[in-house]
Amino acid sequence: MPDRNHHAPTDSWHEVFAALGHEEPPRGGWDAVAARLDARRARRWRAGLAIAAALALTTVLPWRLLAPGDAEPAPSPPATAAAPTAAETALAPLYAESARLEALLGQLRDGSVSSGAAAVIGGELEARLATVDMALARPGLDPEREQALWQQRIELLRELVDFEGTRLWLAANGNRYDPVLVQVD
Amino acid sequence: METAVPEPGLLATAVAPASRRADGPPRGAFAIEVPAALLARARRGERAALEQIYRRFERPVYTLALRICGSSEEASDVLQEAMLKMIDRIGDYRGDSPFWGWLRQIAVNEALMLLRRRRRLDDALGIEGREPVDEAPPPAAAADAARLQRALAALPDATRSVLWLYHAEGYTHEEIGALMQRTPSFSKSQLARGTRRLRALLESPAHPTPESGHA
Repeated sequence: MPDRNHHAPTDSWHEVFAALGHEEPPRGGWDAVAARLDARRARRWRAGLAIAAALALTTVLPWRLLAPGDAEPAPSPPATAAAPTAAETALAPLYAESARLEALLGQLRDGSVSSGAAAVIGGELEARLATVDMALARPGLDPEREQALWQQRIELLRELVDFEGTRLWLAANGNRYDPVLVQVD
Repeated sequence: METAVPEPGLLATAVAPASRRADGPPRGAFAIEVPAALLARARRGERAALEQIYRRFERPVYTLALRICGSSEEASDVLQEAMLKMIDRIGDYRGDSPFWGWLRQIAVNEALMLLRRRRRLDDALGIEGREPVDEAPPPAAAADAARLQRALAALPDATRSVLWLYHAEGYTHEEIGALMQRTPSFSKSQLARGTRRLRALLESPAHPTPESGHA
């Protein structure tokens, strides 16, 4: 600590405030920002995917439901709406669950109760989700792999929902996520 | 005289394009020039350019937020939110004023919004009639950084914000009043009373006693 007797009297408050200099922010700030940017990008991509999936369901499923047992022979589905395979049938509930969790997540998210550490944790989950989404976007996925990825995506979304719910609950009770982490450690 | 900084944030219409204070410190440690080529790359969304801008300004933004909010955790939050807003809005930056001033305005808005959300902008020194301006130079104790920081932390949040924005950043009373959604008179009286309180805290032989639980 400097000895004030060794300093000449200062001329202005601006000088003494400026002399305080800069403080060092915690490390990893850019990583947290980058993770949130990635998460936003992934969300935009997922929104497109969800719309595409919803469109597919509205065109493929009606054909699927109408085809067996109709009095009149069902017209051939258009080339773009091929008969559903077993894999597609298995994926339908995963799409629906994914969309449900996305909607829930949207309702739980509250930027006003954010904190640095919570953003890092949330960002990490978002980054993992983005990785899964990138894998899903690759062409030529085999059905088993695609199903596994959608399952993984749902598990990550559930983790995010749990995380955001906990964060919101803590905020409602006047706490933040960070102290809880300290207690756990 | 420096060009007025356009307001990029929520209070875009609240701050008149007033001139900087004639006697004020208009630039300060925030005044970091950014090459036009780097800005152009950032405006195109190049991640590496955005990171470079982040790295250049993370310390001044964090420091400003810390001085206003008073806690490192809150300053980290403000840093992150301000930088994300900067990235979101960099396409709106027209380049007719210094980039650092534009970014600083975002950071000030974010810091004050955090205090407002937490109902801490009402935390100000009470005013008793007209407050005479304290024009004397700071006491010698103000050169002791640790002591000055403790004294600042002992001030109510709104008072400390006014002092910092006026003395350190060079904002006018009109600008501070608008930023804090108060009148210029509020800024003037907080400055007068806060400066006197800061002086008293610094001249006190004992360590200053915190008057605000938030700071």
